[in-house]
Amino acid sequence: MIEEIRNEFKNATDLFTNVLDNGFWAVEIAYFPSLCDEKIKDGVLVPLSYRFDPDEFRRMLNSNPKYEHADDPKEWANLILKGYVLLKIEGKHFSFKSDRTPVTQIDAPTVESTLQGPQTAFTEDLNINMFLLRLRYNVPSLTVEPFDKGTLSRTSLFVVYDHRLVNAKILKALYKQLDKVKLDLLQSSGQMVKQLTEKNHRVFPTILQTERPDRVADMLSKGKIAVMLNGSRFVLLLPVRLYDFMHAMDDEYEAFWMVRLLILVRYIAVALTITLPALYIAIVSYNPEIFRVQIAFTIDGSRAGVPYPSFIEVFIMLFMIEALIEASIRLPRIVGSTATTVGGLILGQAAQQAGLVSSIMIIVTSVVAISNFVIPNTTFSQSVRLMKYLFIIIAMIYGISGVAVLFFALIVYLCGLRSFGEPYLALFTNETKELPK
Amino acid sequence: MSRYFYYHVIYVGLINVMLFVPWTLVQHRFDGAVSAMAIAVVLGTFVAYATTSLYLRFPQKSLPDILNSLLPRWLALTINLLASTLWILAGILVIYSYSATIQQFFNPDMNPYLFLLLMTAAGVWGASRCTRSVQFAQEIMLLISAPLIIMILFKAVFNPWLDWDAIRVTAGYIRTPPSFVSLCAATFVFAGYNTLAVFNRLLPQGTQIRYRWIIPLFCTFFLLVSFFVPIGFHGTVGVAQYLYIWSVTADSMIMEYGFVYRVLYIFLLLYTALSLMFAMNTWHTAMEFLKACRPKYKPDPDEYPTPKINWLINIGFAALTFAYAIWTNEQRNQLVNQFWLIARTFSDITSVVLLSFLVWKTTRRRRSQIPSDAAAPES
Amino acid sequence: MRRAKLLLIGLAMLLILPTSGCGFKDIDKRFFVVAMGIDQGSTPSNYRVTLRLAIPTSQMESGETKTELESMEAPSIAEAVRHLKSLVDKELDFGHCRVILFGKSLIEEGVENPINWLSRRRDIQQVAFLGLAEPNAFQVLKLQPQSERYPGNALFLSFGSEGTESSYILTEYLFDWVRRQTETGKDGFLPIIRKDIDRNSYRVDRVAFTDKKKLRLCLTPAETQLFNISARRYDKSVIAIPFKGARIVLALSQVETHVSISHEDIPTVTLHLHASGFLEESPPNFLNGDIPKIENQLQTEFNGELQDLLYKIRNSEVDPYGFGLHYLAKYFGGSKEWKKWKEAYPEITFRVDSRIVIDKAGLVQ
Repeated sequence: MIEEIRNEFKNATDLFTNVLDNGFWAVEIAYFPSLCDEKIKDGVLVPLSYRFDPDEFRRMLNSNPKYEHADDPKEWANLILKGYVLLKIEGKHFSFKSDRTPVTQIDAPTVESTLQGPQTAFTEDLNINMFLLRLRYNVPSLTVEPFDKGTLSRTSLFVVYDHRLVNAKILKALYKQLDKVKLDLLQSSGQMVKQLTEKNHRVFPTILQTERPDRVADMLSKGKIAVMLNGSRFVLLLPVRLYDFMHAMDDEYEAFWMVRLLILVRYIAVALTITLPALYIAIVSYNPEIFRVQIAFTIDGSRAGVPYPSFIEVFIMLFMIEALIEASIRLPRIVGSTATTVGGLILGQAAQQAGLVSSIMIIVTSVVAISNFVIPNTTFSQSVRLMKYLFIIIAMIYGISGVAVLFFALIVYLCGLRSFGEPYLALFTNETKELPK
Repeated sequence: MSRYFYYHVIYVGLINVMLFVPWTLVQHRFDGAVSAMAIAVVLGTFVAYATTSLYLRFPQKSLPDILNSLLPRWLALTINLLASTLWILAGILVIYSYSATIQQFFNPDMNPYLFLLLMTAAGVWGASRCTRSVQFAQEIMLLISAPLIIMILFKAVFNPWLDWDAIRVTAGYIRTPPSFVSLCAATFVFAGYNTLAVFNRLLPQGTQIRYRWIIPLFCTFFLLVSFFVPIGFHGTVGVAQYLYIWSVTADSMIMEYGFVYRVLYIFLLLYTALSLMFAMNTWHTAMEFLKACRPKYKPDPDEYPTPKINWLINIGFAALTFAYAIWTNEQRNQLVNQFWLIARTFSDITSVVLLSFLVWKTTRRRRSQIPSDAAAPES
Repeated sequence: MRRAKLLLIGLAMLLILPTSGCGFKDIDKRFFVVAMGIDQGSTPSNYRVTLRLAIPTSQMESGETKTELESMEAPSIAEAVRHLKSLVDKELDFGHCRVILFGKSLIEEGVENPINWLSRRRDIQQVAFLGLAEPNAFQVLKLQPQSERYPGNALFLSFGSEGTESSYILTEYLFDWVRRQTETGKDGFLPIIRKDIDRNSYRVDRVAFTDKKKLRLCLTPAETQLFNISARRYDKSVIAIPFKGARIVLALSQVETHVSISHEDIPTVTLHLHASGFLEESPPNFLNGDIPKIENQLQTEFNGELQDLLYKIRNSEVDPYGFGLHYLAKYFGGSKEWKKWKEAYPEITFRVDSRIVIDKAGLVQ
């Protein structure tokens, strides 16, 4: 056995192979020490060495669930890579499950934090994640189906749903899509999202990624399907609607009217962040008569020293703010705050004083940036970030009427989207199930 | 689900401004517009009730489906083609007059065809979606814009500068015999039921359209407002000199404490939404009529992704819009508008007659079928 | 395939982008016209157009605003405006032109052409304020009041109801004026704007009446206030009468009017007016049962004054109240009724039936 395995892993110097001879038996053993943990001591080494009793050992081989027959040589390489120990005892092949699970602390959510909701987030370990989910949604009808994806990484994933509530059509569509997955390395949930959406160059996400067990439990109870990935903090939820992206888990826990107000604020923020730079261009360059006289004169006065057309001004400021956001994500936390202070406060102030941009534009930029952060979901917030450039371009050509027309086109686009056959944007959605199929 | 039906009723009631309905009525205000409006309220309500009831007899079937299954092929084909012409023209007229309006008020220096390009592009984009998406988009756009439009209408009605004497003087001309064009124009306000021609597919079996009194109530309100408010603002004589009557009327109002001072701009932006919705709906309907002309056509209100044929047909419509824009001018456009309003009235009445005939035909067939089915096991 | 599509979209964008040049004009390349004046030119067929242009500054302080005045004479308004464009360095923008003034001599001659130009231009607001400038629009626009916070706002504020609310100022919008120019049985009015004597502010306290062609009558400030109360139901005004050697001033808080016209050969117009308010000035101790008496005296006094005004207006053959239209509306009349009214109008009798109620006596007894 050892030769065959050695042949397969020619250059893997970290592979451990040996023949253990305790005087009675000569046992061949092969495993990767880096993939296996301490269980190997209690499960293999101790019973084989100074506590050795052939009868007891045989009994153990048959009864311990961690031991399994591994007679197919083709499977060996695969087993070893998954953290199994391969043994050849008395001419028979066994595998012993001893995969190392790093001790993971359950972490607090980092991208979807709440004020008073549950403070746990998923970890990068599938079993712990399953535990976290079962903690919140533990019913007999919860169905878990395992899959392996990625030709190289062989990442295991679970498709989880409540079989009493789930829509079979959507489940079928998901399996069809899962069959189509072609990836070498599956390392993050984002890759999975791209693979599962029909056209992967979509502007808006149609699958929700979340790190919150309570959100997954909540969605499962609404008949949605969760896809959990090993090695990823994020769980995919589908099918989803636009509202799910605008929904923070706090909304479930706070007072009713407060939540309604906050949701309204979020939608207004989205509208602002998309249209405000475009409106600035439209007002400044095409239709200054739309707003009140005072506003026109204020803008006119503050733009007096700006040497180039409005859209270049907008592009400069938006470039600065985008660069700032990118920088503050990548930078370590300590440096990050310095960068934002320098960029936001000093540069903005200086740019305005130097007459490069108007002071109104500084306000517009900050409103755009702040409004964008109001969106609870990062993926969606990035899509919205992208949308505003489209609006800027149309405002450059057509002014304010272009903005209105593009807004219409955007609504039509969102209404035309489908998330696994379900409408993405439609009002009063619980009634749409009555629609004829 | 019948709420979708009422969305159609309401936006068609509101869009009349863009199809020169108030203009047509105002031209005839001293010779028959008011009496024609009174008749239109009765006639429009009757046709609306009749058409909706008839469509409900054919659950989940659009007009082309009904025609294809019950009429000889050549006849169904002719009717489908004629109907689609009428629908295409509706979209073209609204897009043309709206882009002319907006070009007039927003971008007077801009090349008119450039703006037409934007409007047709948005129309093509909207109309090529599947029927269900069109319905969703329409609901959202209407719920965003209709409350504001109705607010502007109420603001106009309660405006202190509105001259009720002028309105009363005009209303006094109800004693004149009705004029035919005005009648056709006024019945258009009630024509929202027409969109059932395709959207009936989405009404599930057994839907009842309740609260049908909404149709006469709202549409009469829209009709009265869109005719009388401009007269109240511009006088019995002065009103006739304006071409874009409602734009000028909206400009006669201010919002002293609003973000935007002149109501005109809010009005125009809201009507962008309405006009695009109208274009989306009419072109979509026209497209479905055209698609139903293919021999192997299978209706599907929820096709996703958008098939290529949708794009091709709608781009054809856009090309027609450009051709129309090149051919037309203000006089011709008004003439075509009036022609369209008249043709539409006839087609509505024809469709009521046709549908009643088909209902009668199916019930007779069913009746003759049942005895033969019952007789079958015995033989 | 996808690359070809992208290339196509890119090409289309490249084709569209250069066309964005038309209509694209930054706000700092525009000159906002805040007020416009139209006068009679040096020869009767000429017009003199005066524009007040705003020069915006980043700091907005009272008295610090800068405006520029440009004036040009030409046979038509359109030509004058075109010519004015050559005098300034930026594009003229009428989008914020909220005040339009006509010179007195122009109104005396007739304003058909200017009105035509104003209603044809899409960028002239229908809600622009109109006024009659005395002695002419150029002189009035030349004034720069100290209190102006941004260019032209003193003019906007005095006409509109956002700023001062005075019973001597009548507001007239362009659309209303245009409507009155053509309406049967209703004639136009224009507030008269003058320079104040101290040359520091505007003075708007009179009103002028025009028929369909030209100026017919100018009222005194007191009559203007009376017209404002009775025709426009303006309730922030006062009624004052002498009473026992002192003066009683009633500040109105609510005014309702109603006109009834009899259907006789010579119709009688009855103006019912119901007003209530509180006393701002009155003799001391007036609570001693004098209220009905004061009310009575107010009514008779007011009736007399208003009746005189109505006859004065009638005698100059104008109808700014719109009695004619109201008559037609009341009896659903056509052209025949209108002819009859027109013949009867110079003979018509007026009655005023007012009911004035003192709600409160102010803060003191």
